[in-house]
Amino acid sequence: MAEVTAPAARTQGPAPRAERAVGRRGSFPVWRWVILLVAAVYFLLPCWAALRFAGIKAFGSVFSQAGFGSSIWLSLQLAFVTWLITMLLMVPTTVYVHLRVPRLRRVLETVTILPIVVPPVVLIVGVLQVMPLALRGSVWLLSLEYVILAMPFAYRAIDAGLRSIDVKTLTEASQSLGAGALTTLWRVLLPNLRTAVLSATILVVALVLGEFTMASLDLQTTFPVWIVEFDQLDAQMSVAASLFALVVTWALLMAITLIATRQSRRTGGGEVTLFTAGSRETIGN
Amino acid sequence: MPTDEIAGNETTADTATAAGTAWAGNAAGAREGTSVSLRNLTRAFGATRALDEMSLDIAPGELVALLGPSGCGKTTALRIVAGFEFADYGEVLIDGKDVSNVPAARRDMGMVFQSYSLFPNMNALDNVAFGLRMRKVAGAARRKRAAELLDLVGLSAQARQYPHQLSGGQQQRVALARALAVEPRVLLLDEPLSALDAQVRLRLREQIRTLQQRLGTTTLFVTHDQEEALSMSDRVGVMRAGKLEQVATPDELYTRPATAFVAEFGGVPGRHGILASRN
Repeated sequence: MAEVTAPAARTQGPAPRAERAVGRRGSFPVWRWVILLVAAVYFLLPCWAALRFAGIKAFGSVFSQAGFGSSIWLSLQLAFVTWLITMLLMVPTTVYVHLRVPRLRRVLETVTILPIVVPPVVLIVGVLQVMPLALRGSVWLLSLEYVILAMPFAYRAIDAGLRSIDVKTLTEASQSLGAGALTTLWRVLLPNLRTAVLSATILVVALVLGEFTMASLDLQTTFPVWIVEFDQLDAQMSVAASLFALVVTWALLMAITLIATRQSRRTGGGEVTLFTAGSRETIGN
Repeated sequence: MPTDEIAGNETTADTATAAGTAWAGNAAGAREGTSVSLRNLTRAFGATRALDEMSLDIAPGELVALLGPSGCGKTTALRIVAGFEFADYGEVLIDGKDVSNVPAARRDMGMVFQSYSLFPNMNALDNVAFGLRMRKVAGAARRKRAAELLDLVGLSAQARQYPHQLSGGQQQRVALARALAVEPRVLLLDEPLSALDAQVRLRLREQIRTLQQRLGTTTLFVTHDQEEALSMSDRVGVMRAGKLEQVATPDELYTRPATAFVAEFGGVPGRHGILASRN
């Protein structure tokens, strides 16, 4: 208990400076609110316009449209499968590279960024050319494609998480206590990468739920594809569906973030936001 | 912060004594003491030889410090004993058996690291209990034992706290309890005090030595601080460029240094502080 008060006593030295800093910080919130307001207008105005265009009534009937349920279900399934494959692939790989071949980190960084450089159209058309027939007709081919598409985001999130903890020491400590590699990964590393894994999850899920090009070229009616197709029949309804998709995605991401924040608060980790993967710090002396 | 740490430690020392006696009683029967032998350990990183035909025998229950400047190979030696690195040739014998092919997880050694190594996702008690869990000790027995160990290092009150809520000195004490909880055959200390400030370091140094003597655990201790090495150890090995210059009791090292290097580095505390603090 006494230790908690000790640092406070220590900061008494440079008090005037600290006060000034607080004063300066005191004027910050005004600007924060202004920026928030501008951003909010930028995002909400189109939403409001869409709402006006579609009309409230369209929302009621959007759920009963043909293909609505099946397309959203397909998108959710794809998101889950993509997430699963991404995690199974990227977490052990990134950990291994960090621990055993740190020299390859640069290479991995470059390789994982390639999907951003290569346009999705090229990626899917190329893959469809060379895929065996059995996979070409399968929905899950799309998942495999999405894994590649999500790789830059997933890798960066997990990499940031690994940088924020002392992977080497934690692994060695775990080993010296008798834990094997899998136990170490599951009980020691993963719990401390939760923030990073959740950031990766958010990015992967958002990506899959919004992807249009690949799904469309692969002739799969995912939710974004359905919206565009439906647009030709009923523009109002289509806009209502788009808004609905926005709300669903937003709610899903909020839920993931909330779970992450609650969990990490328990163990003293940092706040979870979309882009601060692994901001966890341990207090030293 | 330092004042709190010391105040905490004073009460700590008393509780530690009481609990330690009881616990050492149980442990004494289980362990007869383990001997450790390093034979001709050689390890090269590129052109530099981190270890050059290094040999050392540690008697059961003995605490031997490896002392030397940064880059002299002392940490490499410790890591080879732990199983985190491997010698190009030479062997490590535990009770006469070569363990070179035994993975770190099965060497049955407790290790305290230089940097804070507690698992951030577990509280102090779960950290201490981790090794027991790996050895499939049942839940109730595991918690009881972990609590005993925390008591031993005087941190019973902090059992439910997470590493980020503990001071540096407290974290290293939990790490020590965690390493000792599994009743390791050998205790390895890799500069466990160097991240702490001076006063905490002094207290913890005494605490480690007292515990080690009470439990009789064979211990290899790596440090670049000659005062630390001389005050804690049964014997000190002074290392230079991958070789042991001299292995002797602190007294002998101080009064009869074998080489000029030993006299400079191990003999006169303070004079070569610059060299020592470079690590």
